[in-house]
Amino acid sequence: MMLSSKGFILVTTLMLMLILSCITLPMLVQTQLSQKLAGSATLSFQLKQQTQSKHVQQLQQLTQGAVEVGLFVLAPCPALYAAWSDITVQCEWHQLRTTERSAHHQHSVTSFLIRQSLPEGGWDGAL
Amino acid sequence: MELYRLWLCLLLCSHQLFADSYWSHIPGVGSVQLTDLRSEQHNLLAQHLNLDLTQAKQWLDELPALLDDLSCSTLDIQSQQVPAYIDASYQVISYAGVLKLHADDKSKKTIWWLPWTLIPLLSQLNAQLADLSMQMHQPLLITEPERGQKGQFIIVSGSSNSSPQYFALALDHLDQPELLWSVNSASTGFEDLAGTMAQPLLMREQKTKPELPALSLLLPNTGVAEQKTLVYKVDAMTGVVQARLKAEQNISELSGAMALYDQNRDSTLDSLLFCTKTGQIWQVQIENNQFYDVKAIADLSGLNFSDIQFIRALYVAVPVGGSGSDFHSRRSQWLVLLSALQQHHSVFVALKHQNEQRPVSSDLVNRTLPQAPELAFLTDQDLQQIQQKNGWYSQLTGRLTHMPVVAAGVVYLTLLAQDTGQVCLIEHASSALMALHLHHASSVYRQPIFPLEKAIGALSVKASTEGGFALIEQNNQQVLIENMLEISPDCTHCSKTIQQGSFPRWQLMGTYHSEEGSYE
Repeated sequence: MMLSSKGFILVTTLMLMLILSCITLPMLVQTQLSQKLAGSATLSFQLKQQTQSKHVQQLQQLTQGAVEVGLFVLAPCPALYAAWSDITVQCEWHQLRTTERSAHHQHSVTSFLIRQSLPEGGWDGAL
Repeated sequence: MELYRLWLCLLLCSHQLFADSYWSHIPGVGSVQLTDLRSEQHNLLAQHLNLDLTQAKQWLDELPALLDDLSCSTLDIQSQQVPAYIDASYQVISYAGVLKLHADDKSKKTIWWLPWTLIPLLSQLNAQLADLSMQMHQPLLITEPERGQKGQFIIVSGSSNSSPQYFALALDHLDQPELLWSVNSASTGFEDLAGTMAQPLLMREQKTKPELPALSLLLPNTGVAEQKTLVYKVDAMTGVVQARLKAEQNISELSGAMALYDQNRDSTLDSLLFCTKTGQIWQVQIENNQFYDVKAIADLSGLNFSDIQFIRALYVAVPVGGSGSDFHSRRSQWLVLLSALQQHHSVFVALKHQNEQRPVSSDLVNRTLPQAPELAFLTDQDLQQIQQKNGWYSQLTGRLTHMPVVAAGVVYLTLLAQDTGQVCLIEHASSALMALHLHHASSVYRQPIFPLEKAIGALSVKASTEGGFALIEQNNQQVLIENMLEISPDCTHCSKTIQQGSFPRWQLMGTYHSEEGSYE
């Protein structure tokens, strides 16, 4: 009787421990995961913000003529309210791409811009 | 005595040097100077004129006087500059097919090109030049950048309606004009050519051979009667027909004004605008020597036009706001700008090109400037009408002499009011420059019309020393407007000075984000 009750306690203890660990371990994993999730959002946001601020900076540099970017096509100008005869205003399409990386992640911002210019010294001519 | 001889020699030599030259092309013989004909060439000329040899000699003696009579100084302001690599002092003008190249320097030398078929009709051309109900279209000049060959200069011209022909003249050397080709109703492929009072249009083909840009010309058939062929597409160098626009609908009395534009905005010219003299406007697509999809765009025949002077298409952001204060909504669309003749003055039309509907003249708002400038006030109702209807038109106080220039939303028009009794005398004409708002034809500057002391040639825009832009006249570099204004979308009448410093302008068309990878 004594022996069997000792065995019972052991088995019960073991089962309890098993149940407890079954409960605790996922909780631990879950905590870690949610921490990671929370962190990843922050990281992602940080990366996004970093890329965007760099992009804005680059846009400024581009419009000030400090940097040059991929000029990919000479296209007709978009419609303007203060329109010019077609051959007068020259339009160039520029593509500005800013990419930032962390360990396994990358975020990029791409902008399309049109540069409208008048030929040096004016232009001659009809519509 | 020695000095006297020297003077005499100089006088004689200079006379030879500065003498005017009269060129033509005798079929089968080639280019000849009419003042320097050999006897058999003289015979050919006499035959062609239906005169005997002595009468032909007399005709030749009278030729300078005949051509002086033909000269029309009100038409001369439409002269086009000969490119600088040939001789910048010369200008070219066409009197219904008779070409006159005149130097505006001290020498006053003149080179005439008389198309062979027009020689017997010279005395009849005056009447055509004096006809104010018709537009005298000027020739097309093909220069180095278009042709892609150094030193080449080609003039392509139409001629009078009494002997219709199109011809191309190579003028690489001014003292040796060569006829490249000429076509009339006797030429193969041009059997139904009935009228050539038009400006040929140049069309650059898509480059199949990169070393040589292939150039084509579009030549309208401007005869009075209904024609089978409306437009010919020919090779610019040989005049051989490549394609024809056949008349399927009832289109008659084609005007000589046409325009090519890139309707789908893919950087290739794909659409042709053409119109009848009365103001029916049509559009046709062109691709690979094929004309297709002829569409009527508008019918302005209610405005009683006698001829169309110029037609162009312009891609513009047009305000569509409901009232004067709500001015910020805009739609990108094509505007058809055209100027037409109505009795002795021009009418300028800005027409919205819409696919779904075909406007008639009553759909346009009359924005003719009243006699008293203070009455030219734009009411909210007018503005609303322009935005809801299909555009505006304005009757001008004279005849438009050049294709209008649109700069920063302002339309600049050069006007000439001719004396109906003495049409060809510039001394009896008064001229003016007019500046109108592109979207509602109001005055942008303090006054809408600037009277000018003398008639002016083509307009151009030059950067001024004060940091703005000036509107100048090309030939004499005369400044017409010192600080040009630009219209602004902030309000109906807003405008500001254009600053050189504001160019280049950047416009952000769009931004997109992309993310890749994962966090661990």
